[in-house]
Amino acid sequence: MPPSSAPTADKSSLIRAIADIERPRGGRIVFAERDITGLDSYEICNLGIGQVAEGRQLFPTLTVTENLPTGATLARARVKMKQTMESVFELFPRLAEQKNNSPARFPAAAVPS
Amino acid sequence: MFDEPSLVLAPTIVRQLLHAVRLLNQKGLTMLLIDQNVALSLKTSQRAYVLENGPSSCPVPEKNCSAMRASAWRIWDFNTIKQQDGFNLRLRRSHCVQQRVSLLHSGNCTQLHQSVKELSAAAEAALPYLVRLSNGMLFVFCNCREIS
Repeated sequence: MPPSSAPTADKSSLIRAIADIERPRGGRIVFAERDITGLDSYEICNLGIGQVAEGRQLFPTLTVTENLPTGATLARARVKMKQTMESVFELFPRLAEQKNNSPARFPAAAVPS
Repeated sequence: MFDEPSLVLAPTIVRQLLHAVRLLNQKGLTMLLIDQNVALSLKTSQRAYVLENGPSSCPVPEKNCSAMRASAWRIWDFNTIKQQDGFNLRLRRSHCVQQRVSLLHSGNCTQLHQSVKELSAAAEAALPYLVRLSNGMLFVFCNCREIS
């Protein structure tokens, strides 16, 4: 294990354990007074626990408006996708300006692929 | 949960991003962030956890590495971080709760079940920032909200 890789793995593991991408060896994960240890990832996601992966993991060849729906695959997210998208653009006005661009072409931010 | 959202972003973009995080948090969304921007992270959060790593480089063979690192992992709990406090690590160290945690090996789930337990016990739901500095410190800054 190269030393430089260790911290990242440990930090990300916290998120990955909560999202059930990695299994904790022991202990419990409690959310809103409920033990969610061992729930499947989709169930945890359905509780409202989402994640933004390290490096964002965007699709560099898709536009903003094509990238955003990839985060709305759950049924309850899909039904309000349009409103959510609007609120995202409200929250990030600069993003709205780039909505037909792909992340790779953003002028102000270097987005790792 | 954000895994180093400020990574490779311009400072102005990072500020906008954390502003958005703050807005969403004020609307009642609990958040967990790992980030390297200590100053902005502290401004955003009310609770901080620090997982302290030992030496960031491992001079021993890999199979001995986890044991060595295990002894160096601790959780620091900064219960009440106030924005105006600024950031003085040495000062905070003397005030914080220190707790040893067991470390499984990186790539397995290591100490995080413990830290998650800590977070849950301390805050039910939390908005932490995990920030790693080059000196081997890992910070978890949390903004706690009651779940109704």
